[in-house]
Amino acid sequence: MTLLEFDLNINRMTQVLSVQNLGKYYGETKAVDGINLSVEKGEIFGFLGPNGAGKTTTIRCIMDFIRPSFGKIAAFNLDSHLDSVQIKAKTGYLSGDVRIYENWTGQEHFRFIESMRGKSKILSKLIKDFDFDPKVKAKKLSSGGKQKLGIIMAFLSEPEMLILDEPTTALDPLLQNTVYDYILNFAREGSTVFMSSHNLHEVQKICSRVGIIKQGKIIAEESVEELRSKKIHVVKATFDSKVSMADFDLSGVEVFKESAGSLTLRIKGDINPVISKMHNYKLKDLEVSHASLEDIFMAYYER
Amino acid sequence: MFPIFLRTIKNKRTAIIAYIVSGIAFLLMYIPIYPSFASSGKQLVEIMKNYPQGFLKAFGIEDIAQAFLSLEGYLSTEHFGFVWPLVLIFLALSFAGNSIAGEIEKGTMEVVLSQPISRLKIYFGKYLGGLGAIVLFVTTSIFASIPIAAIFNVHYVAKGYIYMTILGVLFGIAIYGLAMLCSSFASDKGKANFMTGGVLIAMYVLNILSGLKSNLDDLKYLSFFHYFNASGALLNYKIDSIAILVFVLTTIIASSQSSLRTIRQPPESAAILFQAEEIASFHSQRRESCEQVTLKCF
Repeated sequence: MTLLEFDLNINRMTQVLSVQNLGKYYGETKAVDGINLSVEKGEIFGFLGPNGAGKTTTIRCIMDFIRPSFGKIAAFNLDSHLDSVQIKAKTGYLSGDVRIYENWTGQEHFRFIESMRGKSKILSKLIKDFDFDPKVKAKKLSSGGKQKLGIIMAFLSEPEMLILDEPTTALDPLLQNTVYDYILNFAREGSTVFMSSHNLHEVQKICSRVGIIKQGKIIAEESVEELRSKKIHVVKATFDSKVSMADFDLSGVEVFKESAGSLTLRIKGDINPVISKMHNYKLKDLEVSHASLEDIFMAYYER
Repeated sequence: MFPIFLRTIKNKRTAIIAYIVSGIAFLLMYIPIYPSFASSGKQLVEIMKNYPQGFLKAFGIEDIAQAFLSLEGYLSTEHFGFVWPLVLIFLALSFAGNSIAGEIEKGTMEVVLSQPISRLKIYFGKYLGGLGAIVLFVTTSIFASIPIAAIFNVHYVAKGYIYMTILGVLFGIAIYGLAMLCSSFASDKGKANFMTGGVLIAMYVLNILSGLKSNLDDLKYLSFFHYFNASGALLNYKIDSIAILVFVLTTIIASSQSSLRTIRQPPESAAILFQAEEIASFHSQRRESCEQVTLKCF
C-alpha cells in the first residue's frame, strides 16, 4: 500500500458525509449549484446562509427526499440514493419546518419511530430533559412544543449522524442550551452533526467547522477558528479631537459606527494603514478585536 | 412495512368505522321496508316497464321483473347498484388521497421518509392499509344483509352475497388503484381527488350515454360501471370474466405505475414527492431573502 492509498483509506474511514458537485435546478432556477463539502466523524459542521441560499435543498438531497439534478452524495461510504435505507438507519433528522401528525400524541410518534428503529434507551431522559409531555396531541402543542417533539424524534435512536435543519428555532434559551449539550455529547461520543443555522452565536458556540452557502454555492468552508482568525478586525477608537472621515476612506475599511469623537471600523486585510492614520490624532481609547462570526458572515455576503 | 400499514389503519379507524356503520345503516333502512315493497311488486314492474331503458340502466336495473320480486333484486337495484358503489368510491378516494398526496400536503411525509424504510415499503404499507379498509367495508356492508334480513323475517339467498362481495372487492380495488395513481401524480389531496373524481364521473356519463343511443353502445366498455353488475352477482351468481379481467388489470397496472412513480421520482418531474412543495418553498424563501435585503437597504 502506498502512502497515498493509506491516506485515502484513512480519509474514507473518517469521512462520514461527502457532497460532490451537488446541483439542484428547478427549471432555470439554480437552488444549489455545484457544491462540495465533507464532514468528518465526530465533527459538528455548521451550514450557514440566509433564507433561499440552498441550505434546506442541500439537506433534502442528503436525506434523499429529493433527487439532485447532478452530483453525488455519500454518507458512511454509501450512496445517499441507492443505500438510503442503510444511511437513514444511522441518521437522525430534524426538519427546518417540523411537521408532525396532528392527531397523534408525542408517545404515538415515538412508538412509530421505535417500531422502525428499535427501542430507544434515552427516550425517557430526552422527555425529562426537554420537559415534554408525551400524552398531549400534537395539534395542541405550541410551536416550541412541536420543535421539542421533532428534536426528541431525531435524537431518540442515538444516531451516528445528525442532520439538523435549524434545530433551535422556536426554543427558549434554556432549551437551546439543552439542545447544544445533547449535540456536543453526541459529537463527543463519535456522532457526526451537520446542522444548518441562522443563529451565528450557536454556530460559534458549538460548531467545529462551517460552510457558508451563497446563492447555491459554497463560498467558504473552514473551521470556526480559521474563519475568526481571518484578517478581519473591528477597531473601536475614541479620539480627543474631531476626526476627518476622509482619513479613513481606505481600501478594505468600512466605517461601522460613528458618533461624537468615537469611531468603529471594520477592517478587511492589513490593519497598519488605519493605525498609521490614527497616529495623527490623540487617542482616548483604542480597542482592537477579531471580528465576530457575524461580521465575517456579513463580510462574505457583501463580497 | 407493517408499522406503516398499521399506522394507516389506525389513522383512519374512525373513518373506517363511520363508513361501515353507514353501509349497515343503509341496509337497516332498505331491508325492513322490503316486505311492503314486495307486496306491490307486480304493479311497480308494470309502471317501470314504461321508463326509458337508459334511465333504468342508470339505476342498475337490468331485469325489471327480477328487480322487485326478490330481496336480492331489490337490494341490487336500490342499494348495491347505486348508493353503495358511491360510498365505496368515497372510501377509496379518502384513503388514496391521504396516502401520498395528503402526506405531501401536510408535510408529514418527511417523518416517514426520514426513517430507515424504503419508498417501496412505504408505498405498499399505505397501499395495503387502504386495501384492508376496502375489503373490510365491502365484506361487512354486504354480509350484514344476511342477519338483518333474518331479523326482519325477509327471505334471502346467501350465495348471492358471496358473489356480490367478490365483485365489490374487485370494483373497490380497481377504483383504489386508479385513485392511488392519481395521488402519486398530485402534490395535494384535493388535486388527487379531483383527478380520480373526474375520471369516474366521465366513466359514469359514458355508461349512461351508451344506454341512450344504440350507436353509442360501445362506450359502455370504457366504464367501470358497466362491468360492475350488482344484479348479475346477487341474483344470477355470476361475475363476467371480462369484468374480472378489467378490474384486475386496472388494479395491477395502476398500482404498479403509482408505486414506480413514488419510488423513482425522476429529477425532471417537478410534481412528485416534495418537488412541487420544494419549488414553492424555495421561491418563498428567495422572496423573503429579497425582502430582507430590501429592508436592510432602507
